[in-house]
Amino acid sequence: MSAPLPNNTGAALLYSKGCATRFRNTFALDLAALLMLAYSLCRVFLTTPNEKMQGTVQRIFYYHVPFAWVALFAFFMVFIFSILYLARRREWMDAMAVSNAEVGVFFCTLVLITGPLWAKPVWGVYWDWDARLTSTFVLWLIYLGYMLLRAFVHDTHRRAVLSAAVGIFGFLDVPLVYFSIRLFNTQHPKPVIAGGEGSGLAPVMRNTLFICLIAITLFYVCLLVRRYRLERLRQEAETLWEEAGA
Amino acid sequence: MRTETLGGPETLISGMVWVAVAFAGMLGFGRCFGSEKDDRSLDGLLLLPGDRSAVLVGKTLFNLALLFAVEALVLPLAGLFFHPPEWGCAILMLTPVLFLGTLGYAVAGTLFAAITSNTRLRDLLLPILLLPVAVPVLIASVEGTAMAVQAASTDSVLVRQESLVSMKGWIRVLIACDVIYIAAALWLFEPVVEE
Repeated sequence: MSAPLPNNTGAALLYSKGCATRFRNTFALDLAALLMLAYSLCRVFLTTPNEKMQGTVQRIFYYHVPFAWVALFAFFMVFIFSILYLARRREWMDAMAVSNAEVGVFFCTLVLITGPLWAKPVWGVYWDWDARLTSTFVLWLIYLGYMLLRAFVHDTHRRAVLSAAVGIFGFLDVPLVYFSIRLFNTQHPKPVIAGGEGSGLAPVMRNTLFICLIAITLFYVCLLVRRYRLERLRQEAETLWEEAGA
Repeated sequence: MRTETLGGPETLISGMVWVAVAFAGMLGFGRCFGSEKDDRSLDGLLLLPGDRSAVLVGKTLFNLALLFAVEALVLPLAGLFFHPPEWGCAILMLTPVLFLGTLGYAVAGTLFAAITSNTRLRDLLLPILLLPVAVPVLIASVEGTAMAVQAASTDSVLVRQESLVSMKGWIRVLIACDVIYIAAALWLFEPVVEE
């Protein structure tokens, strides 16, 4: 490594560059996410009635399901931006992929925490090796591996290519994991939205779920924008290090 | 389906066999790119005229041969130690499961060995990355093998038919895995090894 840059000049340089300043002003987005989260909390705990069979525990569902949707969406985005990176080789695509992977792992962790909290009173056990549970857990492991791999590759370009390969292969694997385990064993409740005959939610519950979904999605975008900005700054810092070293 | 075989000798034997194969693979896959990286001989291989995916195919065939050798050793030993009835017949019946499962595992293993060979701590990273990804192949292989063993060892015609139907289901899963793994590996190998 080369001699360190003088203090502050690096940061000043970073902020003078174009892409780092993009998405700097996210106040409106943050405010919207905060208000929606507050409103969703009010709805979940104050205005939505208790579920008949499960009682108050069922309220976890309003956050558990949006967490799962957002996590899956984030992993899908890793897949998309990994393909884009391999095709176009722009640094921001790699930044987008890694940001989505980290935020996705965060939400996937929340799914894996809220799920057992609900399952203990309802199923009587915290965990069962059921199709959805196991495939969520495997998904979580795959993207933890993705982040671990990135930590052990020095070169920026190699790191981007290798993690893109893992991001693509890992996501292609998701349906296989799901179907193989589903064939093996399943006890997770069937989807209540668009789940076919005999499924469905009372309108008030469905509306609460959608409000939670909007709130969590906004929260996801807030986290993603911050993580993305951090990654872009990191990339620029690495470029500056290389320039300073050369 | 699961409760019928749970804890029976079929599950035990198929589990033992596939644990041996999975461990052998994890240790073996890393070697096939590790020594190439250490000696910088991979660069030479990639300079050869022709399609680069040939390198992937060659490495995969080597890993397949390695795993088949392990299986050729483990299967008779499993018969020796667990003495299931009609073991020879069972080995014949589980050949397609064995072949497809080993193929999928070897393809995924070779690609991930190529990926992790670029990193420090590659011997540690390979199993961490490979095992979650190989979950569908391993589940389908273990279950398919158990079904084949059950079909061979049962006296009841009904149980045999059920086991065979269920084995065919697992073979379909394995075929789906193999097709997707091979396509993805052929596509991703090129960017992974480029300099």
